[in-house]
Amino acid sequence: MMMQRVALMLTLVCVSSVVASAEEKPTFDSERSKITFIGAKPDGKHEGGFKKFTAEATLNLEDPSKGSLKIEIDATSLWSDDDKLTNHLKNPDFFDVRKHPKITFESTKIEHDASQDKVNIVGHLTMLGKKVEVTIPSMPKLTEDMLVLAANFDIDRTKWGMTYGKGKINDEVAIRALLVFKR
Amino acid sequence: METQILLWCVITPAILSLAFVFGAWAIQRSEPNAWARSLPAVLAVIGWWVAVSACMYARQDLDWSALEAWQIVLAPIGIASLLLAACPCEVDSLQSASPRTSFGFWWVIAGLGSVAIAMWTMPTGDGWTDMLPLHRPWMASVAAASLINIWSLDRMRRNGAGGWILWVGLAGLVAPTLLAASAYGGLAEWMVSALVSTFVFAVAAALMPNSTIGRLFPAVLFLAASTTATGRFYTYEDHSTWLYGLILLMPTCISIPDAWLRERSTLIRVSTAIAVAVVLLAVIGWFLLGDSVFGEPTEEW
Repeated sequence: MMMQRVALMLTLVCVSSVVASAEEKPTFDSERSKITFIGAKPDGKHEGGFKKFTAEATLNLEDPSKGSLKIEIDATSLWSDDDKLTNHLKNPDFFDVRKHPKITFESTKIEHDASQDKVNIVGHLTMLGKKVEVTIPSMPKLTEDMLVLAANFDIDRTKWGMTYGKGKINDEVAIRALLVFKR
Repeated sequence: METQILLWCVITPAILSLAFVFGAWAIQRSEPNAWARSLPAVLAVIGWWVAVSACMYARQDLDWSALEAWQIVLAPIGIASLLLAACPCEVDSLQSASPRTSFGFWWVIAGLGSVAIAMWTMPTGDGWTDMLPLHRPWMASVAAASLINIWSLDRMRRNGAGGWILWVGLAGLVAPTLLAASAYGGLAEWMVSALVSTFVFAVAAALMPNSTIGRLFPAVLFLAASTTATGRFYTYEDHSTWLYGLILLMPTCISIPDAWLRERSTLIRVSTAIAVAVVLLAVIGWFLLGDSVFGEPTEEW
Protein backbone atom coordinates (compact mmCIF):
# COMPACT_ATOMS: atom_id res chain seq x y z
CA MET A 1 0.00 0.00 0.00
CA MET A 2 2.80 2.37 0.94
CA MET A 3 4.69 1.50 -2.25
CA GLN A 4 1.58 2.23 -4.32
CA ARG A 5 1.23 5.71 -2.78
CA VAL A 6 4.89 6.55 -3.48
CA ALA A 7 4.49 5.39 -7.09
CA LEU A 8 1.38 7.55 -7.53
CA MET A 9 3.16 10.59 -6.11
CA LEU A 10 6.13 10.05 -8.42
CA THR A 11 3.82 9.73 -11.46
CA LEU A 12 2.00 12.98 -10.58
CA VAL A 13 5.29 14.84 -10.22
CA CYS A 14 6.50 13.48 -13.57
CA VAL A 15 3.24 14.39 -15.37
CA SER A 16 3.17 17.92 -13.97
CA SER A 17 6.79 18.51 -14.98
CA VAL A 18 6.01 17.32 -18.54
CA VAL A 19 2.98 19.67 -18.70
CA ALA A 20 5.08 22.53 -17.41
CA SER A 21 7.70 22.02 -20.05
CA ALA A 22 5.15 21.70 -22.91
CA GLU A 23 3.10 24.76 -22.01
CA GLU A 24 4.66 28.12 -21.37
CA LYS A 25 3.34 31.60 -20.67
CA PRO A 26 5.85 34.15 -21.95
CA THR A 27 5.76 37.72 -20.62
CA PHE A 28 4.44 40.41 -22.96
CA ASP A 29 6.96 43.10 -23.91
CA SER A 30 4.86 46.22 -24.53
CA GLU A 31 7.92 48.35 -25.34
CA ARG A 32 8.83 46.38 -28.42
CA SER A 33 5.33 45.44 -29.58
CA LYS A 34 3.33 47.41 -32.12
CA ILE A 35 -0.17 47.38 -33.59
CA THR A 36 -0.72 49.68 -36.55
CA PHE A 37 -3.25 49.98 -39.35
CA ILE A 38 -3.41 51.60 -42.74
CA GLY A 39 -6.70 52.95 -44.01
CA ALA A 40 -6.78 53.68 -47.71
CA LYS A 41 -8.93 55.45 -50.25
CA PRO A 42 -8.50 55.62 -54.03
CA ASP A 43 -6.32 58.72 -53.84
CA GLY A 44 -4.34 58.24 -50.64
CA LYS A 45 -3.85 56.49 -47.34
CA HIS A 46 -3.35 57.19 -43.65
CA GLU A 47 -1.43 55.28 -41.03
CA GLY A 48 -2.56 54.88 -37.46
CA GLY A 49 -2.29 52.57 -34.53
CA PHE A 50 -2.74 52.07 -30.80
CA LYS A 51 -0.26 53.15 -28.13
CA LYS A 52 -1.61 50.97 -25.33
CA PHE A 53 -2.41 47.30 -25.52
CA THR A 54 -1.61 44.08 -23.70
CA ALA A 55 -1.30 40.49 -24.86
CA GLU A 56 -1.24 37.09 -23.22
CA ALA A 57 0.09 34.07 -25.04
CA THR A 58 0.25 30.44 -24.09
CA LEU A 59 2.92 28.56 -25.94
CA ASN A 60 2.86 24.84 -26.45
CA LEU A 61 6.09 23.65 -28.00
CA GLU A 62 5.01 20.09 -28.47
CA ASP A 63 1.69 20.92 -30.04
CA PRO A 64 1.48 24.57 -31.22
CA SER A 65 -2.20 24.15 -32.01
CA LYS A 66 -2.83 23.98 -28.25
CA GLY A 67 -1.46 27.46 -27.71
CA SER A 68 -3.59 30.57 -27.29
CA LEU A 69 -3.45 34.31 -27.75
CA LYS A 70 -5.44 37.09 -26.14
CA ILE A 71 -5.00 40.78 -26.97
CA GLU A 72 -6.69 43.76 -25.31
CA ILE A 73 -6.33 47.15 -26.98
CA ASP A 74 -7.10 50.46 -25.27
CA ALA A 75 -9.01 52.14 -28.13
CA THR A 76 -8.63 55.57 -26.50
CA SER A 77 -4.88 55.35 -27.15
CA LEU A 78 -5.55 55.57 -30.88
CA TRP A 79 -3.12 57.68 -32.92
CA SER A 80 -2.78 58.57 -36.59
CA ASP A 81 -0.53 60.57 -38.86
CA ASP A 82 -2.88 63.59 -38.61
CA ASP A 83 -4.29 65.16 -35.45
CA LYS A 84 -7.66 66.05 -36.98
CA LEU A 85 -7.96 62.54 -38.35
CA THR A 86 -7.15 61.12 -34.90
CA ASN A 87 -10.07 63.12 -33.46
CA HIS A 88 -12.36 61.91 -36.20
CA LEU A 89 -11.27 58.27 -35.82
CA LYS A 90 -12.11 58.39 -32.10
CA ASN A 91 -15.69 59.48 -32.81
CA PRO A 92 -18.70 57.27 -33.62
CA ASP A 93 -18.01 57.53 -37.36
CA PHE A 94 -15.17 55.09 -36.75
CA PHE A 95 -13.99 53.59 -33.43
CA ASP A 96 -16.45 55.34 -31.05
CA VAL A 97 -13.89 55.09 -28.24
CA ARG A 98 -16.18 56.65 -25.62
CA LYS A 99 -18.71 53.88 -25.98
CA HIS A 100 -16.32 51.09 -26.89
CA PRO A 101 -13.00 51.78 -25.16
CA LYS A 102 -11.68 48.23 -25.59
CA ILE A 103 -10.90 46.18 -28.67
CA THR A 104 -10.17 42.54 -27.93
CA PHE A 105 -8.95 39.50 -29.77
CA GLU A 106 -9.25 36.02 -28.31
CA SER A 107 -8.03 32.98 -30.20
CA THR A 108 -10.27 29.96 -30.52
CA LYS A 109 -8.04 27.78 -32.65
CA ILE A 110 -4.44 27.77 -33.83
CA GLU A 111 -3.75 25.99 -37.09
CA HIS A 112 -0.14 24.97 -37.44
CA ASP A 113 1.47 24.31 -40.80
CA ALA A 114 4.73 22.59 -39.88
CA SER A 115 6.00 22.47 -43.46
CA GLN A 116 5.92 26.29 -43.78
CA ASP A 117 6.60 27.16 -40.15
CA LYS A 118 3.43 29.19 -40.22
CA VAL A 119 0.40 29.43 -37.94
CA ASN A 120 -3.09 30.67 -38.63
CA ILE A 121 -4.54 32.14 -35.46
CA VAL A 122 -8.30 31.92 -35.66
CA GLY A 123 -10.26 33.89 -33.12
CA HIS A 124 -12.85 36.53 -32.31
CA LEU A 125 -12.06 40.18 -32.82
CA THR A 126 -14.49 42.26 -30.78
CA MET A 127 -14.76 45.87 -31.85
CA LEU A 128 -17.63 48.37 -31.57
CA GLY A 129 -19.44 45.74 -29.48
CA LYS A 130 -19.48 43.21 -32.33
CA LYS A 131 -17.67 39.87 -32.23
CA VAL A 132 -16.44 38.72 -35.64
CA GLU A 133 -14.27 35.70 -36.43
CA VAL A 134 -10.97 36.52 -38.12
CA THR A 135 -7.99 34.46 -39.18
CA ILE A 136 -4.59 35.97 -38.55
CA PRO A 137 -1.74 34.42 -40.51
CA SER A 138 1.52 34.68 -38.60
CA MET A 139 5.13 33.50 -38.87
CA PRO A 140 6.22 33.03 -35.26
CA LYS A 141 9.88 33.34 -34.37
CA LEU A 142 11.00 31.50 -31.30
CA THR A 143 14.41 31.98 -29.74
CA GLU A 144 15.78 30.99 -26.37
CA ASP A 145 14.69 34.23 -24.76
CA MET A 146 11.80 35.52 -26.82
CA LEU A 147 8.76 34.76 -28.95
CA VAL A 148 7.90 37.14 -31.76
CA LEU A 149 4.55 37.02 -33.52
CA ALA A 150 4.40 39.14 -36.66
CA ALA A 151 1.23 39.39 -38.69
CA ASN A 152 0.15 41.36 -41.75
CA PHE A 153 -3.47 40.92 -42.68
CA ASP A 154 -6.57 42.80 -43.84
CA ILE A 155 -9.95 43.13 -42.18
CA ASP A 156 -13.22 44.38 -43.62
CA ARG A 157 -14.19 47.23 -41.27
CA THR A 158 -17.85 47.12 -42.33
CA LYS A 159 -18.25 43.72 -40.62
CA TRP A 160 -18.10 45.61 -37.32
CA GLY A 161 -20.56 48.24 -38.53
CA MET A 162 -17.86 50.80 -39.32
CA THR A 163 -19.53 51.99 -42.50
CA TYR A 164 -18.74 55.71 -42.49
CA GLY A 165 -17.33 56.83 -45.85
CA LYS A 166 -18.22 53.54 -47.54
CA GLY A 167 -17.42 53.85 -51.22
CA LYS A 168 -15.03 56.72 -50.56
CA ILE A 169 -12.78 55.00 -48.04
CA ASN A 170 -11.82 51.37 -48.69
CA ASP A 171 -13.61 48.74 -46.61
CA GLU A 172 -10.37 46.77 -46.29
CA VAL A 173 -8.00 48.00 -43.60
CA ALA A 174 -4.46 46.63 -43.46
CA ILE A 175 -3.36 45.57 -39.98
CA ARG A 176 0.30 45.20 -39.02
CA ALA A 177 0.93 43.59 -35.67
CA LEU A 178 4.22 42.80 -33.99
CA LEU A 179 3.89 41.11 -30.63
CA VAL A 180 7.06 40.45 -28.65
CA PHE A 181 7.11 38.16 -25.59
CA LYS A 182 10.00 37.44 -23.22
CA ARG A 183 10.50 33.80 -22.25
CA MET B 1 -22.05 57.26 -50.78
CA GLU B 2 -22.60 60.81 -51.99
CA THR B 3 -25.77 59.63 -53.71
CA GLN B 4 -27.05 58.22 -50.41
CA ILE B 5 -26.31 61.50 -48.62
CA LEU B 6 -28.02 63.44 -51.41
CA LEU B 7 -31.04 61.14 -51.25
CA TRP B 8 -31.53 60.93 -47.48
CA CYS B 9 -30.08 64.22 -46.21
CA VAL B 10 -31.22 66.56 -48.99
CA ILE B 11 -33.95 65.18 -51.27
CA THR B 12 -36.02 63.26 -48.69
CA PRO B 13 -36.15 66.07 -46.08
CA ALA B 14 -36.97 68.56 -48.85
CA ILE B 15 -39.85 66.45 -50.20
CA LEU B 16 -41.27 65.72 -46.74
CA SER B 17 -41.04 69.39 -45.75
CA LEU B 18 -42.67 70.45 -49.01
CA ALA B 19 -45.57 68.06 -48.37
CA PHE B 20 -46.20 69.71 -45.00
CA VAL B 21 -45.80 73.17 -46.53
CA PHE B 22 -48.60 72.34 -48.99
CA GLY B 23 -50.71 71.15 -46.07
CA ALA B 24 -50.07 74.40 -44.22
CA TRP B 25 -50.85 76.39 -47.35
CA ALA B 26 -54.17 74.55 -47.83
CA ILE B 27 -55.20 75.26 -44.24
CA GLN B 28 -54.08 78.86 -44.59
CA ARG B 29 -56.49 79.28 -47.52
CA SER B 30 -59.42 77.86 -45.57
CA GLU B 31 -61.58 79.82 -43.12
CA PRO B 32 -59.26 81.32 -40.50
CA ASN B 33 -60.31 80.71 -36.91
CA ALA B 34 -58.34 80.42 -33.71
CA TRP B 35 -57.63 76.72 -34.22
CA ALA B 36 -56.85 76.98 -37.94
CA ARG B 37 -54.52 79.90 -37.23
CA SER B 38 -52.16 77.67 -35.20
CA LEU B 39 -52.42 74.68 -37.49
CA PRO B 40 -49.84 75.76 -40.12
CA ALA B 41 -47.34 76.25 -37.27
CA VAL B 42 -48.16 72.81 -35.87
CA LEU B 43 -47.79 71.27 -39.35
CA ALA B 44 -44.47 73.08 -39.82
CA VAL B 45 -43.09 71.63 -36.56
CA ILE B 46 -44.35 68.13 -37.36
CA GLY B 47 -43.03 68.34 -40.93
CA TRP B 48 -39.62 69.58 -39.80
CA TRP B 49 -39.44 66.88 -37.12
CA VAL B 50 -40.49 64.12 -39.55
CA ALA B 51 -37.94 65.31 -42.13
CA VAL B 52 -34.95 65.25 -39.74
CA SER B 53 -36.13 62.01 -38.10
CA ALA B 54 -36.45 60.29 -41.48
CA CYS B 55 -32.87 61.22 -42.33
CA MET B 56 -31.64 59.99 -38.95
CA TYR B 57 -33.53 56.73 -39.34
CA ALA B 58 -32.19 56.15 -42.85
CA ARG B 59 -28.58 57.15 -42.27
CA GLN B 60 -27.81 56.04 -38.71
CA ASP B 61 -27.73 52.42 -37.69
CA LEU B 62 -30.12 53.11 -34.85
CA ASP B 63 -29.73 50.82 -31.89
CA TRP B 64 -32.90 51.64 -29.99
CA SER B 65 -31.48 50.26 -26.75
CA ALA B 66 -28.41 52.48 -26.92
CA LEU B 67 -29.35 55.72 -28.59
CA GLU B 68 -26.89 58.62 -28.43
CA ALA B 69 -27.87 61.70 -26.43
CA TRP B 70 -28.07 63.81 -29.61
CA GLN B 71 -30.54 61.31 -31.07
CA ILE B 72 -32.74 61.16 -27.96
CA VAL B 73 -32.89 64.94 -27.67
CA LEU B 74 -34.96 65.10 -30.84
CA ALA B 75 -37.95 63.92 -28.74
CA PRO B 76 -37.99 66.83 -26.22
CA ILE B 77 -37.21 69.25 -29.07
CA GLY B 78 -40.27 68.01 -30.97
CA ILE B 79 -42.60 68.03 -27.96
CA ALA B 80 -41.54 71.47 -26.67
CA SER B 81 -41.70 73.01 -30.15
CA LEU B 82 -45.08 71.47 -30.82
CA LEU B 83 -46.50 72.88 -27.59
CA LEU B 84 -45.08 76.32 -28.40
CA ALA B 85 -46.49 76.20 -31.94
CA ALA B 86 -49.89 74.93 -30.84
CA CYS B 87 -50.27 77.43 -28.04
CA PRO B 88 -53.10 79.60 -29.43
CA CYS B 89 -52.31 82.31 -26.96
CA GLU B 90 -48.85 82.80 -28.33
CA VAL B 91 -47.58 86.02 -29.85
CA ASP B 92 -50.68 86.85 -31.87
CA SER B 93 -52.74 87.25 -28.74
CA LEU B 94 -50.15 89.28 -26.91
CA GLN B 95 -52.26 92.29 -27.66
CA SER B 96 -55.38 90.47 -26.46
CA ALA B 97 -57.26 91.14 -23.28
CA SER B 98 -55.07 88.90 -21.15
CA PRO B 99 -51.56 89.32 -22.52
CA ARG B 100 -49.81 88.64 -19.24
CA THR B 101 -51.36 85.19 -18.77
CA SER B 102 -50.76 84.18 -22.38
CA PHE B 103 -47.23 85.47 -22.44
CA GLY B 104 -46.38 83.73 -19.17
CA PHE B 105 -47.78 80.38 -20.28
CA TRP B 106 -45.79 80.50 -23.53
CA TRP B 107 -42.58 81.28 -21.65
CA VAL B 108 -43.15 78.56 -19.08
CA ILE B 109 -43.24 76.04 -21.95
CA ALA B 110 -40.16 77.62 -23.54
CA GLY B 111 -38.28 77.52 -20.23
CA LEU B 112 -39.20 73.94 -19.38
CA GLY B 113 -38.37 72.89 -22.95
CA SER B 114 -34.96 74.54 -22.77
CA VAL B 115 -34.12 72.83 -19.49
CA ALA B 116 -35.33 69.43 -20.76
CA ILE B 117 -33.28 69.76 -23.93
CA ALA B 118 -30.20 70.83 -21.96
CA MET B 119 -30.57 67.76 -19.75
CA TRP B 120 -31.09 65.25 -22.56
CA THR B 121 -28.27 66.69 -24.67
CA MET B 122 -25.62 65.63 -22.16
CA PRO B 123 -23.92 62.38 -23.15
CA THR B 124 -23.95 59.78 -20.40
CA GLY B 125 -22.25 56.47 -19.73
CA ASP B 126 -18.95 55.18 -18.40
CA GLY B 127 -17.03 56.58 -21.37
CA TRP B 128 -17.95 60.14 -20.47
CA THR B 129 -16.90 60.25 -16.81
CA ASP B 130 -13.88 62.45 -17.59
CA MET B 131 -16.26 65.01 -19.11
CA LEU B 132 -18.64 65.18 -16.13
CA PRO B 133 -17.22 68.52 -14.90
CA LEU B 134 -18.39 70.02 -18.20
CA HIS B 135 -21.97 68.82 -17.83
CA ARG B 136 -23.23 71.52 -15.46
CA PRO B 137 -21.79 74.54 -17.31
CA TRP B 138 -22.94 73.13 -20.64
CA MET B 139 -26.43 72.35 -19.38
CA ALA B 140 -26.70 75.92 -18.12
CA SER B 141 -25.28 77.24 -21.42
CA VAL B 142 -27.68 75.26 -23.60
CA ALA B 143 -30.73 76.20 -21.52
CA ALA B 144 -29.74 79.87 -21.28
CA ALA B 145 -28.78 80.15 -24.97
CA SER B 146 -32.06 78.53 -26.03
CA LEU B 147 -34.09 80.98 -23.95
CA ILE B 148 -32.08 84.07 -24.93
CA ASN B 149 -32.27 83.14 -28.62
CA ILE B 150 -36.01 82.46 -28.42
CA TRP B 151 -36.55 85.79 -26.66
CA SER B 152 -34.43 87.63 -29.26
CA LEU B 153 -36.15 86.12 -32.27
CA ASP B 154 -39.57 86.48 -30.71
CA ARG B 155 -38.83 90.19 -30.24
CA MET B 156 -37.71 90.42 -33.88
CA ARG B 157 -40.94 88.81 -34.99
CA ARG B 158 -43.06 91.13 -32.94
CA ASN B 159 -41.19 93.94 -34.66
CA GLY B 160 -42.41 92.76 -38.06
CA ALA B 161 -39.74 90.23 -39.04
CA GLY B 162 -42.16 87.25 -38.93
CA GLY B 163 -41.77 86.54 -42.65
CA TRP B 164 -38.00 86.06 -42.48
CA ILE B 165 -37.37 84.99 -38.88
CA LEU B 166 -36.62 81.41 -39.94
CA TRP B 167 -33.69 82.63 -42.06
CA VAL B 168 -32.06 83.85 -38.84
CA GLY B 169 -32.72 80.43 -37.29
CA LEU B 170 -31.21 78.83 -40.39
CA ALA B 171 -28.05 80.92 -40.00
CA GLY B 172 -27.93 79.80 -36.36
CA LEU B 173 -27.98 76.16 -37.51
CA VAL B 174 -25.05 76.57 -39.90
CA ALA B 175 -22.51 77.23 -37.14
CA PRO B 176 -23.24 74.01 -35.14
CA THR B 177 -23.13 72.12 -38.45
CA LEU B 178 -19.63 73.46 -39.06
CA LEU B 179 -18.64 72.42 -35.53
CA ALA B 180 -20.02 68.92 -36.14
CA ALA B 181 -18.29 68.75 -39.54
CA SER B 182 -14.94 69.41 -37.86
CA ALA B 183 -15.09 66.12 -35.91
CA TYR B 184 -18.18 64.01 -36.45
CA GLY B 185 -19.30 63.33 -40.02
CA GLY B 186 -22.45 61.37 -39.13
CA LEU B 187 -23.78 64.22 -37.01
CA ALA B 188 -22.86 66.81 -39.65
CA GLU B 189 -24.65 65.00 -42.46
CA TRP B 190 -27.75 64.68 -40.26
CA MET B 191 -27.58 68.42 -39.59
CA VAL B 192 -27.70 68.93 -43.36
CA SER B 193 -31.22 67.47 -43.29
CA ALA B 194 -32.20 70.02 -40.62
CA LEU B 195 -30.72 72.82 -42.76
CA VAL B 196 -32.62 71.63 -45.85
CA SER B 197 -35.92 71.28 -43.98
CA THR B 198 -35.52 74.66 -42.27
CA PHE B 199 -34.67 76.20 -45.65
CA VAL B 200 -37.91 74.87 -47.19
CA PHE B 201 -40.02 76.22 -44.30
CA ALA B 202 -38.11 79.53 -44.37
CA VAL B 203 -38.99 79.95 -48.06
CA ALA B 204 -42.61 79.03 -47.30
CA ALA B 205 -42.80 81.51 -44.41
CA ALA B 206 -41.38 84.23 -46.65
CA LEU B 207 -43.92 83.47 -49.39
CA MET B 208 -46.79 83.32 -46.86
CA PRO B 209 -45.95 86.13 -44.42
CA ASN B 210 -49.40 85.98 -42.85
CA SER B 211 -49.12 82.32 -41.96
CA THR B 212 -47.82 81.01 -38.64
CA ILE B 213 -45.13 78.80 -40.23
CA GLY B 214 -42.51 81.08 -38.70
CA ARG B 215 -43.43 79.68 -35.27
CA LEU B 216 -41.12 76.80 -36.15
CA PHE B 217 -38.22 78.95 -34.98
CA PRO B 218 -38.00 77.57 -31.37
CA ALA B 219 -37.40 74.05 -32.77
CA VAL B 220 -34.54 75.34 -34.91
CA LEU B 221 -33.03 77.25 -31.97
CA PHE B 222 -33.34 74.25 -29.63
CA LEU B 223 -31.57 72.03 -32.15
CA ALA B 224 -28.82 74.59 -32.75
CA ALA B 225 -28.05 74.87 -29.02
CA SER B 226 -28.17 71.13 -28.41
CA THR B 227 -25.95 70.36 -31.43
CA THR B 228 -23.40 72.91 -30.27
CA ALA B 229 -23.16 71.02 -26.97
CA THR B 230 -22.91 67.70 -28.81
CA GLY B 231 -20.19 69.13 -31.05
CA ARG B 232 -18.30 70.26 -27.96
CA PHE B 233 -18.47 66.83 -26.36
CA TYR B 234 -17.37 64.99 -29.51
CA THR B 235 -14.43 67.18 -30.41
CA TYR B 236 -11.02 66.53 -28.96
CA GLU B 237 -9.80 69.97 -30.01
CA ASP B 238 -9.53 72.89 -27.60
CA HIS B 239 -11.67 75.59 -29.13
CA SER B 240 -11.94 78.91 -27.30
CA THR B 241 -14.84 79.58 -24.94
CA TRP B 242 -15.76 82.74 -26.88
CA LEU B 243 -16.13 80.64 -30.04
CA TYR B 244 -18.65 78.34 -28.38
CA GLY B 245 -20.40 81.40 -26.96
CA LEU B 246 -20.63 82.93 -30.42
CA ILE B 247 -21.99 79.69 -31.93
CA LEU B 248 -24.58 79.36 -29.15
CA LEU B 249 -25.76 82.96 -29.35
CA MET B 250 -25.47 83.58 -33.06
CA PRO B 251 -29.23 84.20 -33.61
CA THR B 252 -29.18 86.75 -30.79
CA CYS B 253 -26.10 88.42 -32.29
CA ILE B 254 -27.97 88.78 -35.61
CA SER B 255 -31.00 90.21 -33.81
CA ILE B 256 -29.06 92.95 -31.95
CA PRO B 257 -28.59 95.36 -34.89
CA ASP B 258 -32.17 94.60 -35.94
CA ALA B 259 -33.43 96.02 -32.65
CA TRP B 260 -32.09 99.43 -33.71
CA LEU B 261 -33.32 99.06 -37.28
CA ARG B 262 -36.85 97.94 -36.47
CA GLU B 263 -38.38 101.15 -37.82
CA ARG B 264 -36.46 100.86 -41.09
CA SER B 265 -37.53 99.09 -44.29
CA THR B 266 -37.48 95.30 -44.56
CA LEU B 267 -34.75 95.57 -47.22
CA ILE B 268 -32.39 97.35 -44.83
CA ARG B 269 -33.20 95.01 -41.96
CA VAL B 270 -32.73 91.86 -44.07
CA SER B 271 -29.55 93.17 -45.69
CA THR B 272 -28.07 94.00 -42.29
CA ALA B 273 -29.02 90.58 -40.88
CA ILE B 274 -27.41 88.85 -43.89
CA ALA B 275 -24.24 90.92 -43.54
CA VAL B 276 -23.94 90.16 -39.80
CA ALA B 277 -24.64 86.45 -40.37
CA VAL B 278 -22.06 86.16 -43.15
CA VAL B 279 -19.36 87.90 -41.10
CA LEU B 280 -20.06 85.79 -38.00
CA LEU B 281 -20.19 82.53 -39.97
CA ALA B 282 -16.93 83.44 -41.72
CA VAL B 283 -15.26 84.00 -38.33
CA ILE B 284 -16.65 80.74 -36.92
CA GLY B 285 -15.73 78.80 -40.08
CA TRP B 286 -12.23 80.22 -40.04
CA PHE B 287 -11.56 79.14 -36.47
CA LEU B 288 -13.20 75.72 -36.84
CA LEU B 289 -12.15 74.61 -40.29
CA GLY B 290 -9.60 77.17 -41.45
CA ASP B 291 -6.57 74.91 -41.20
CA SER B 292 -8.38 72.05 -42.97
CA VAL B 293 -9.73 74.18 -45.80
CA PHE B 294 -6.78 76.50 -46.33
CA GLY B 295 -3.93 74.41 -44.95
CA GLU B 296 -2.35 71.17 -46.06
CA PRO B 297 -5.23 68.83 -47.07
CA THR B 298 -4.23 65.85 -44.95
CA GLU B 299 -7.55 65.02 -43.29
CA GLU B 300 -10.11 64.36 -45.96
CA TRP B 301 -12.19 61.65 -44.31
